[in-house]
Amino acid sequence: MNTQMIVDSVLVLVILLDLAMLAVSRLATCIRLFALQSLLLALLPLAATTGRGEIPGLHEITVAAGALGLKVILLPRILLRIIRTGEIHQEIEPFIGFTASVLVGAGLVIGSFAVTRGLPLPVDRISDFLPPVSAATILVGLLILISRVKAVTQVVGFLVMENGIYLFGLLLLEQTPLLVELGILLDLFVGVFIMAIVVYHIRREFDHMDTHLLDTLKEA
Amino acid sequence: MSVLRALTVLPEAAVVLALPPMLMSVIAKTKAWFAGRVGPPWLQPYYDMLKLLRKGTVYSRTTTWVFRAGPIVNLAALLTAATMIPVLSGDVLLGFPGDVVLVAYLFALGRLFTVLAAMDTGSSFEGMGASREVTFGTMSEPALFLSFVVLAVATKSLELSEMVGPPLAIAWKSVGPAMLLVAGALTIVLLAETCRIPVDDPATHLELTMIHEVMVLDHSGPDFAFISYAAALKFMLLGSLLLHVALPHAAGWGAVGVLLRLLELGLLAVVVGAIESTMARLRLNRVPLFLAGASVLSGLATAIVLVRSHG
Amino acid sequence: MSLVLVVLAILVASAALALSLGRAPRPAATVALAGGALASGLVIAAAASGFVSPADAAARSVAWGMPLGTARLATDGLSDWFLLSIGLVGLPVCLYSWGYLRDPGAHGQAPVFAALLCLLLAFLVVLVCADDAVVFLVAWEAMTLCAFLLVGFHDRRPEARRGAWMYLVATHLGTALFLVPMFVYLAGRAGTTSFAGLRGICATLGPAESAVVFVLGLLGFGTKAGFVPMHVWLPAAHPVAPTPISALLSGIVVKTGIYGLLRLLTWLPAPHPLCAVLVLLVGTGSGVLGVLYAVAQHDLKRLLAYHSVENIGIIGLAIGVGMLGQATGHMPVAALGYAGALLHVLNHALFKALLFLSAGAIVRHAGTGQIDRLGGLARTAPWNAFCFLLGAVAICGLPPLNGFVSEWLIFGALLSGTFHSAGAIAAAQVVGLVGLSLMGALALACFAKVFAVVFLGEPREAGLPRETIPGAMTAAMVMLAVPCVVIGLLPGVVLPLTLGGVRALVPGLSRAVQSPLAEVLAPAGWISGVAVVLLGVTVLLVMLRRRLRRSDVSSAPAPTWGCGYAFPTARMQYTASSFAWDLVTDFRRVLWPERRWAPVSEAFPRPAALESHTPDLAELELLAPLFRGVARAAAIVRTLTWSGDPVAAAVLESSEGTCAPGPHAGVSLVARGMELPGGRARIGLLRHVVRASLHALRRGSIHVRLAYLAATLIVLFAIEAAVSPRPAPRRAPSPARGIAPNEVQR
Repeated sequence: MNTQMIVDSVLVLVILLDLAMLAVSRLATCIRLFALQSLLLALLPLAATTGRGEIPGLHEITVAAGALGLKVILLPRILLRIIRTGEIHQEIEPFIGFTASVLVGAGLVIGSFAVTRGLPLPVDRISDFLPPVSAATILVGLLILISRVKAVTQVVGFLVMENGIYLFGLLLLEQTPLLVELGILLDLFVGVFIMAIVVYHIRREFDHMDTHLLDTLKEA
Repeated sequence: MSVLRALTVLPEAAVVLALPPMLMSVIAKTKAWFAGRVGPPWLQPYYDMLKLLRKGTVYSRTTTWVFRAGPIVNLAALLTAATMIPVLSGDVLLGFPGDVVLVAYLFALGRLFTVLAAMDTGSSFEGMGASREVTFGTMSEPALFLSFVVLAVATKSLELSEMVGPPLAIAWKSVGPAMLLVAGALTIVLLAETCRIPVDDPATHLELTMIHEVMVLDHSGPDFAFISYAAALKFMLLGSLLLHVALPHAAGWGAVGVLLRLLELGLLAVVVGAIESTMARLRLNRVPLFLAGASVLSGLATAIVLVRSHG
Repeated sequence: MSLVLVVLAILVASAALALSLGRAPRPAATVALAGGALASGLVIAAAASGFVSPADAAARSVAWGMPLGTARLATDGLSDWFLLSIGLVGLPVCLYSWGYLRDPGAHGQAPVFAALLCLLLAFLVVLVCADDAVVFLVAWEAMTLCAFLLVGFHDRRPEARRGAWMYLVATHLGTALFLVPMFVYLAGRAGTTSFAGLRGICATLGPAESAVVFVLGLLGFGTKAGFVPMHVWLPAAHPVAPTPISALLSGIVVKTGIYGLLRLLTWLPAPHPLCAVLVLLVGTGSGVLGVLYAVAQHDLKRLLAYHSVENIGIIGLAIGVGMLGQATGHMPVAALGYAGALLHVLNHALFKALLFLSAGAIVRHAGTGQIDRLGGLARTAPWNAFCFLLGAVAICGLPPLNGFVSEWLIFGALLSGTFHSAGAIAAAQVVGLVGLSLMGALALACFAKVFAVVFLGEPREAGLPRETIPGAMTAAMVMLAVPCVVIGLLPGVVLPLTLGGVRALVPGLSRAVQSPLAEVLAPAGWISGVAVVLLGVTVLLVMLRRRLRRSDVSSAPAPTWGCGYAFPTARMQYTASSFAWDLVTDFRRVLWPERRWAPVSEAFPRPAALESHTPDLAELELLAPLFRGVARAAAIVRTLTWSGDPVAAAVLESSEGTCAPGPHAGVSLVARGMELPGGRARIGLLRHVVRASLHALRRGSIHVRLAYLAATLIVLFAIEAAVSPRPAPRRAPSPARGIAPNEVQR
């Protein structure tokens, strides 16, 4: 069990969590799965640096702490709170059935394994699974965004996509300035915050949060 | 050489043949422990079988020879498969390149005859069970074969005893995550094929929700003894396949390895018992998702192995 | 070679005799069928002599001058193998026809039937022995015509006429659009029509040209063989043909498409990997879709027809693997794949003919082929049940019968191909492997359904007839069952016989390099060993069971346990449709089944009904619109060119039943035949999807916009990945990597 294998296993677990989020039928479970995925991702840079035999620098620690605080603790809390206070039904309503979306998701994962092999990326990365896993996470996030009816699940899909982008950022961790990373996190926070407020108000105004029905709104 | 080999093989074969009901007993004991009961005696499955073997049989007027052939062919197919699956040690009686396919298809042969025997009674409940059995069998087959692909590519071999033998211990070091996924997929296949929770509940009392138990409702006496033994044997065979993949032993462990395998099989039975005690059965329309999950796991493992082994 | 000529002489003479003895129909048919059987036996002998002494080319070919050139016949390993299949199926089919023609309804037509059957066999033999493009095409067309006349033998029934027309139109389109251009192109380049000349010119073709030639051949021969989506004629023609003809059609005539494809492959030296992947994927798709549609069928012979699509898919899959092995230079993989394909050709001919003959006997016995009306036939037709069960076990690819051996070879080719290749090629092979395993499991589900519902349980409908099955029919089935068992038990003996054909396909595999091949095929002997173990254990268990029964005291028969319900009736048994419905709904996104349901409601319910259909999407969504478009274009052309009354033309075209004269009659007939019964226009699936998404776009649905965004991203991503240069080959990850690569760099 060397570091390489631990990192690989964590990345595979990230993919499995992606697919699990497509498979579960309860909103709260889906959000908790997202929190777990974010936890894994937050610890990844630390594990990678310690695996190289270094002590994690300020850069890594800040990124990890930011991700931990924001995506593991704060955002899931906000979302779970909306579900509780907004009295939203627990069921996820998919456009595509659960089995079908898991199979589509699996296809996306395998597709990203095929596609990212050709990408011109820095060679010295912590694992050669990193590009396919991040591409797969982005695509699965998009899939959740597209194929689910409720607004809260769309927020989750957006967050999963962000997780994928974060993974991609890990490829260039050494080169990316800290400020950029923090900026992304801040954007994310603001975005989700606004979405949360909007979702809450949609729910208050229209008594449902089915975005499908929002299409029919017209100014009379 | 052959005498020596026979000396080592025969006791092992005897243990392997005697073991399956014991595993069922371990599962029953675990469930009893979870429920706070003492549970049946350890040797209860053996007593049950002996009693069934001495009993008479009742055949429905509707049935034909197919009904009587069902339990026999099923058991014969599984016993034949047992000659090619390593159980305790890594050795097998018969092994040749390509035997994986034969093993999978022998399981299928057993399934076909069980289903036909069930349909022979003309009971609609048994028809329901038979229909579910073939449906779920269809779903778990790709997962099993994809797992075989992973093992074959990782060990560069087509012989089952090689594919789950010492070369696998080396493969674990390079493609460990894939092996974890395969172990997960094989666990799901094990639970589905042996009709355990969360796919099927062997202890349910409602015929409408059963799968395996409802198919064998009309069997009695020695036929039923064959069926229970075959079910236990199938559990042991698929379980030892899973153990050989999940916990590969390096070459040359000898008797220690054999004892360790015995222990691991017992532990597997405990785990399955714990799953049965703590989980509910899935709704029938969620089962395909569960089984598709197995295929997805092993498909992912295939992708990883192919990427890794050809860089 | 002289044996083949004798066979042809016997067959033609029998046909002529049958037609000239029209006064006494029964003796005439008997004589002709006896001639056909004798000729089939001699065909087997000819093939066997080819296996025993693969003599030099001169002794195995014959040529004589004809008005249009030289007619050449020649046999090689490939022809021998197909001759063997023709003989092994032709013999029982002739015997079965003799029993079949005892039906008083077909009495007067019997000599014509027998004569056409003999001619069909004759042209089949000519086809696989042809050594000249002209001879090949003439035999191909003559075979098609004979088969057409035989399929439409019961021409009083409209569906028989429709099936026959669909067969004729489909294969003619395939021939005219793809095969003739291919042969003309090759012959034009070569300046000769002999196969040797064509092979010579094929060796000089560039990769692009040979790919075009190959795809033309795949489309043309694939129409005959019935690859999806060109398979639509199979489920239309097989159920309506007389039973022995269904067996011959499915067992042999369809295989001529495979023969053509293989013959073409013997000319093309090194197939392009993409062509190989194409064949592999087409085969996988055909196989999975064929068996899925088969699961959903209600008619016995239609179901078997869909299984032909499946098995042709398996053969295509095997050919694809063989080609991949050849393209990537792994000869053992190529040999395994081609050997699997050839063996499956024979196996499928045997067990499918067996199943068709058995199904025909059921139709004769119980008066219907509707699965849901039958039941409990194992007690009134025990031999038939046993033969059908053997065929079912064989077609599911289960040990210890022949189907397993060929599927085992194909699995072996796919698995070993996977670790000899990389990237997309390996992925294609994994796809094929998953498809093959899925096909096996689905075929098991399907045949569990058919055998259980037709033969087991209680009869579902009282009052169906119980005619006796003629002994000739049973004998014919047994004649087919025996080779199934023999091949299953002794693959080590049969497999080397395919080597002649494999060597013709893989020229690099000369006799000197036989050792890797023998090594690859060596484990076949183990299969016999395992089969013996299986049979031995079964016998032991049966003996044990007997011994236990001696102590039985209460083996009294009783009714089936009804789970507490006291008055079960035969109508309550699980039907085929309900048995398959779980599977059909799990694959509803592929099959799009329809279910019409009048539920029970109110206090005094009206009669309720439930019916389910699974229409063929390739027919409804792809070919019917295409044919309708062609018919419409033809009508436009006709109004433009024909000076007569356009209304009359329209009337002429729409007159149902009468086969309107003119070149477009067949096309419009087929187009019209593909409409759903009841005149209800079905909104097509594709059109439905397109219309719904257009509607959603117009409304501005957020999900569709997001989907559009996602699709764009994926496309951009894929383009980027494809365009950007591949990075230098990465360091092979060492198995035990203790240190990360970064550290190495520092």
